[in-house]
Formats: sequence, C-alpha cells, structure tokens
Amino acid sequence: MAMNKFNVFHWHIVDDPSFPYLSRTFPQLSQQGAYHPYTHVYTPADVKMVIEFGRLRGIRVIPEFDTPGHTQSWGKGQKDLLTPCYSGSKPSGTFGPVNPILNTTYDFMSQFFKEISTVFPDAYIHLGGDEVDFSCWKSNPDIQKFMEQQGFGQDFTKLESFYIQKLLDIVATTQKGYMIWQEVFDNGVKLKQDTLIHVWKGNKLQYQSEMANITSSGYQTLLSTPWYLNRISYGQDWTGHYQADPQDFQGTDEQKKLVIGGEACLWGEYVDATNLTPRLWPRASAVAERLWSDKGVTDINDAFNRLSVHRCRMVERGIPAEPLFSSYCPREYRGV
Amino acid sequence: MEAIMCMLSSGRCTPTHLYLLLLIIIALGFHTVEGVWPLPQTVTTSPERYPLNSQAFYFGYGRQSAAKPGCSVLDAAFKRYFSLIFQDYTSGNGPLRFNENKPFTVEVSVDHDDCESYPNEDSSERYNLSVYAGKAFLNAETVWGAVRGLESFSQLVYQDEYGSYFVNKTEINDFPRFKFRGILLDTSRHYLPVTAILKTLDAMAYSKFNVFHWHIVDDPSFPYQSSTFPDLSSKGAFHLMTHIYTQSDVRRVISHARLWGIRVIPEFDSPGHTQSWGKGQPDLLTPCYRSSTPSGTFGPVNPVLPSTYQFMTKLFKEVSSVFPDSYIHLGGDEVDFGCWKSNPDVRAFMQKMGFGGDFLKLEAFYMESIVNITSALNKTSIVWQDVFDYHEQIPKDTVLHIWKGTGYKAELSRITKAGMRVVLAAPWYINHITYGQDWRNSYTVQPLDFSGTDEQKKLVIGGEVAMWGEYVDATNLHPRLWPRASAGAERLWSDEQQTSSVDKAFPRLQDFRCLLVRRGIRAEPLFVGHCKHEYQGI
Repeated sequence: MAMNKFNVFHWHIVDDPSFPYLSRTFPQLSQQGAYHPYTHVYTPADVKMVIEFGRLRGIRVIPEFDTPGHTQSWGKGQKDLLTPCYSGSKPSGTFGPVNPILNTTYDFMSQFFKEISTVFPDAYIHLGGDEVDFSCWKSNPDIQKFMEQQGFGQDFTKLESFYIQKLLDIVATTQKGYMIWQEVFDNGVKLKQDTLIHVWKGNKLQYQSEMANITSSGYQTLLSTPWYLNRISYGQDWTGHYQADPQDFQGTDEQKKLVIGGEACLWGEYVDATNLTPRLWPRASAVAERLWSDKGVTDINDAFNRLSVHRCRMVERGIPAEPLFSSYCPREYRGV
Repeated sequence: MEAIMCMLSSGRCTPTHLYLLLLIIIALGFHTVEGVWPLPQTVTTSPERYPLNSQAFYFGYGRQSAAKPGCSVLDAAFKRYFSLIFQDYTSGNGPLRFNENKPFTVEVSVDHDDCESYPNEDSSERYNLSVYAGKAFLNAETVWGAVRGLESFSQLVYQDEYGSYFVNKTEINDFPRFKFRGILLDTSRHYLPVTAILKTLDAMAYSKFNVFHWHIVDDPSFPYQSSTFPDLSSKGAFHLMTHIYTQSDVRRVISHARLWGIRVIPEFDSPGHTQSWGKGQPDLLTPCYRSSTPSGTFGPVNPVLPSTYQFMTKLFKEVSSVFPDSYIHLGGDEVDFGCWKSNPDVRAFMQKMGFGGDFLKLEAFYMESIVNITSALNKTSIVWQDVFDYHEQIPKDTVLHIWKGTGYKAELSRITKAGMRVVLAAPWYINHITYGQDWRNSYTVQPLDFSGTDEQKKLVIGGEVAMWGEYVDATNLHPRLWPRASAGAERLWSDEQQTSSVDKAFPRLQDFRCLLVRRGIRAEPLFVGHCKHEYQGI
C-alpha cells in the first residue's frame, strides 16, 4: 500500500463466517466465533502491531464492525444478540440479523463500541449496515409485535433505520465519526453531517447517480463500486479500474469536493494468504494512480509502460505482484 | 462387530445397529476414506483404525518384489512420503506419546523391476493397497503404480485433535481411467524459475498427474539453451543469463519428474509461434514484404529454404536426445499466412510445388517434413488439432491435441473417426480465470461425451490442463493452478459415474486443498472457510 501511496486500510475484520477479533470486553465472541480460538484470531497485540505498522507508513486503520446483517458469527459467543428466526410459531433454530428490539442489544453495542473506540485510534469507524435480510425479522412474533407498536406497519426498512439510528447515536457518544455503506443513506436514516457514505452497488450509471444524490445532500462520499478487485476475469482488467473516475458524475464543483476518495476492495470469499498478494497487485495500483494523480492522467498506453516498471519494482521489493502481460522483470526471482 | 459389518454391506442395518455404529464412529472420530483425491476406482473402508508412530513406521520391499532396496524411484519415494505423512516430525525425540510403540510397516511389492527406466505411454499405474493392523500391503505392476499407491496411502493417514496419527482399515483397488493426464506450463510468455517447475511437479504428483507438457519456447522468448545452437537463447531469451534453462536445469526437471512417475514432453512449436527463434537464427523466419521490399518484420518459419530443414533436423536431434520421452510435441497451431503471402520467394515456391494459392498446402508440406524428421528419430509426434484440420498427411500414430474451445466434441468425433488418437485440452484452459468456483467447470467435463463408436472412444488417450503464461508467472502460478487443476485430475483418473456430483466433490476438494497447503503448495481457497494449518507466507 505504501509503495502505491494508499493511506487507508479498511479492515473488514468480522462477518458471517467468522469472528477473529479478540475482544477484551467480550472474549467469548472470538472464543466461539473464530474459526479457531487460538490459531485464527487477532489478539490485542496483533491489532496494535497492525495499527503501528500502518502509522509508520502514514496509513490509517479503519475497522469495520458490520451490523445488523453479516453477523452470524457474533451470535456464537453472544447469546440473544441475533434474532431467532421462526418457522410457523416455533423457533426454527436459525438466527438472523442483530435483534433490534431488545435493550440488551444496545447495552452490548455500547460496551463493544466503547472498547473499539479505544483500541482503534482513527477518528472514524465503519459500521457497515449493508445487505440486511428482512425475512428472519418478519418471521419473529416479538418483532412483529414491536413493528405494530412502533407503527412501522410491514416496512422493515423502518426497523432497520430504527436500529441504525440507535447504533449511530451510541457510536457518536464515543467521539468517533462513522462510515456506512450506501444502504443506510438510501433507506433515509438520519445521519450526522460528517458521516462518510460508502458507495458500492450498481452499474456505472447507478453509482454515478448515487454519488450525485449523496453529494447533493451534502454528505462526503467514497467510491468502491468499479474497484471490486475480488471480481477477477481473464486478461488486463486493470484498464477498466484505471479509467473509472470517482468525480465522474453530474454535479457542481461543490458536490465534487465532497468526494473524498475511493477504495479498492478485495473481498475474501475466494482469497486468502495463498493468493492475496498477486490478486491485489498490481491491479490496485491502477486505482492508486486514479486516486492520487491529476484527473487528466488517463493515457492507457503510457500507464501500461509505467505500470509494468512499477510492477517489477514491487516484485524486486518482495511483493509478488502478478504480471500485466508477457514479459519479464530484470531482477525477478531473487526470493521466489 | 455386527455394527461394523452392517456398515460394509448396506441395507441390513436396524436402527439399534445404526445408533451403536454412530456411537462407535463418534468415539473413534471416523475419518472418511474419501479423503483420497482423485477418488480411487474401488475403495472399501472400516471405522477400525490403527495408530501410527513416526518412531516405529517403516517402508519395506516385499519378498516377492521385483524391485528391491536400491531401487532409486522407491527409495526416494519412501523418504519423501515419510515426511509427507508425518508433517510434525522432527528428527529429535518427539513428545512422549502414551500409546505403545506399535510398529507399522508398509510393504511394497512390484512385479517389474523398472526402477531405472522412464515412465512411458503404456506404463501401468495400477495398484492395490490393503491396510490392516500393523501392516499395509501395496502391490503394483510397476514402480509408477507403487508411487501412485504411496500417494493414496499418504492421504489415508490423518491426525486426531491431539496430533496422534491414525490410518483406518482400508482396501483400495485402483488404476487410472486415462493414461495421459497432463499439465501444460508455458515458459516463454513468462520465464518460470526451475524451483517453480519442480514445485509444480510435486503438486502434480499429489493429484496423480503423469505428464508435464513443457511449452518451453514461443514468440516472446526462447529460454531453452541449446548446445547445438547457443545463439537461440543468448539472442532469444528475455535475458541470456538469468532467464534460461541450461542443459543441467533441463536434466534436473526431467529427473525430478521421473521420481514422481511424470513424463516430460517438450513442445517446440512451429512454424508459427516462433518470433524468438529468429533472433538467434537469422534466415529461419520468413521475411515479410511490403509490396516489393522487405518490411523488416518476420513471420512464421520459412518453409521454402533447405537451410530451414537442416536446422530443424539438427535441433530435433538434440531435443530427442535431451528429452527421453518417446513423445515430442511439434505444435503446428495458429499459423498466420499473411507474411508468407507477401513474400515473393514463398509465392514462387507455391507455384513450383503446384499449391496454387492454397497456403494450407504449404503449411502441410512444412509440418509433414517436421513430423518426418522426428519420426526418423524414433519419436511419436503430438501436434495441435490445426494440423489435422488442415488435412495434413501425418503418420497414423500421431496424437492430436484438441484445444479449440468451440465445437470440441465434434472435433473429438472427427479425429477419432479417422482412427487417430487424441488428447483433450479444450475444456481445461484454466488460464482463463473467472470469478467464483470455476473448478466446477473443470470437474463436470465429460471427455467421452461425443458421438462415436466404442472403438473411437478408446482413441481418447487422455487430457491436459493448460496454464498458458500470458498473465502468469511465479508470482501467481501456484494459486492459479491449484486446486483448480485437481478438479481435472479427478476427471481424468476416476470413474465418471462415481464422481458425477459437484456437491459431493466440494468438501473432499476442500480437504484436499488444505492437504496441498499443508504440503507447501500455495493452493488457493475454493470458498469461505479455513484450514487447520494455513499458508504461512505472504
């Protein structure tokens, strides 16, 4: 990252499949929720080391604790956190998103985010808020009752907003700013003015109009949609990443100023340490130039020549960045 | 005992038997023998398990074995497989284990003493493996079959949660469905260091691949250092010192492959794909013309000059002696006629030969000459399907390599109908990456699903998984190749009916992938999940 002048490490540290973050306040979360409680966890010392390693390179570390969806692994170590799904009138044994109607949920979140705000020094925390599946909430009679009481009818986006609102208020008391995925904005949740909204969905036209909407509402925004590097394909796909411009949408100069940047994402369904580095580099370098350099730097052929040199430079420095095309690096294979 | 017998003969289990069996399974931590990848032809297993202790574990030669101590292939295999089986082994004293030092011996018997030879197209890889208390019997016709059996045995051994090693009572009778099961590596688009090639050979052996198709030279670079024509690499390699394969590098690859029972088939592709050849061999390639003057660029090998065939004869003479396999791949694909057409000498030659304006005839003339050269050297040729498609007259024992993606089933029919043997690569171009679990595409290929008689189907001698090098070098070779290539490996080794379910294959392939990682192969993940022992590098 530092070789490419990236300056933010967005650590999507926990999600459905596993919870590797060892929490001092709730050690059961990783005890029960990690793939293995010792070999597959990040201890407080590990986290400190990552943060310091980043700091020395001028890289901010922003953790993401994504809720209320994407939380299956949280429920292993924290009973009653997730919503029990029902099949008919009986619990089915499976669980859904975080349960938004219990006070214990918010007590937990308060304590949890209090810890997070002290562990991670950056001013921002990413709170997720994406892809919430409503079917489990719908099946649960207690939730149905709550919906009625609150006057939400059958509109579960209102319940989602209810949860997010309370969560954002909790996090705000820890003096942190927050980043959230675009759904939270799309669903009309009331956000603090300094919220960063993270755009990840849609085709080009859709994300361009989303950027326009968000900035016209006065929020700062971050683009990721065209930069999902986990989506691999055959050939030189870096060219597509290189051409995407986060300020390329219909809007005023004031709006464009609200685009604070972008983020290349390498989601982990098909990625681990065996293939992480070649899959990330040098494709992420195309994004790096788009985010650092002047918007007029767009010549693809020139970029190819320079990126080839840059790729060999990374290889020589011990980063196994994959090749762009047939060729060689003069000083490769020293360590492979 | 009744419960165990009930397991082996399905259908006669009462609920109490099943419950008891379940208890036994849970108590013994039953490890399914479908942990062998590729799936053996027949496998019978039992929950009865035997402890293994690295301090008292032995490989031995059976009394009736034709291969004896001193057999290079098996001695090396025993050493390798000991470490592969006991991953935690350190040569000091291990921690005290509280089971008795029950010795376990794997007794290997081989019918033919072929230890010092190279595996060939007809080598039997059949083996049977019987695992009992304290002893396993591995019988095979050849040492190559024994190596396959050792690989299966190594995959039967597992550890419980305390790290103790076990192997279950097992009976395996196994042989490959197809005799030719290959991997193609391209060392011209990107140079691959010898270590990367050796590592690939190791991973190939774990999946029972038995042919390494070395596409060693092509347009971008010529890394093969020829003793007869040293300028080919000194002028044609990416770098004449750091990006070449010396004769000793080549020997190293061939001998490493031999110990794994892997054949090495080199490809010197011509007349197309030869740009790099022209750097060190002036007058080899056809000069292209722009109307009546040479344009400065060059095209395919020049088929009209006698010097071309003198050169090829000398080169293939060297290649034939350097590479011991009886097969040699001559390429013959994707010849662009534009340059030949532009050259007046070539056109004149066409007239003289009565080819008219049909450049296919010229290509045929060239390929036939090359095949004759290699036939005279006692080699069997493999060529790309283009050679057949262009109606070239080639010896009946030439093998055709099917690579074109569209209509490969029709091609299979056509070529086998003409009585020629084929190797299928078309559905296994795994250099073509896509997002998601594309190993399933490799797994569900049905190589014999084309219209033809049984006799025709017998002519499909096997298949090949290809990793072309345009976007691949040692930084990303291993994760791109494994475990996706292993899906093709099972298709080529195992019985198709027993391996038709992708859903059943998934957990087995996940486990196999973790085994590869444990053995130091950077096999990428299939999906979300984890391995007990993760890859520790960057």
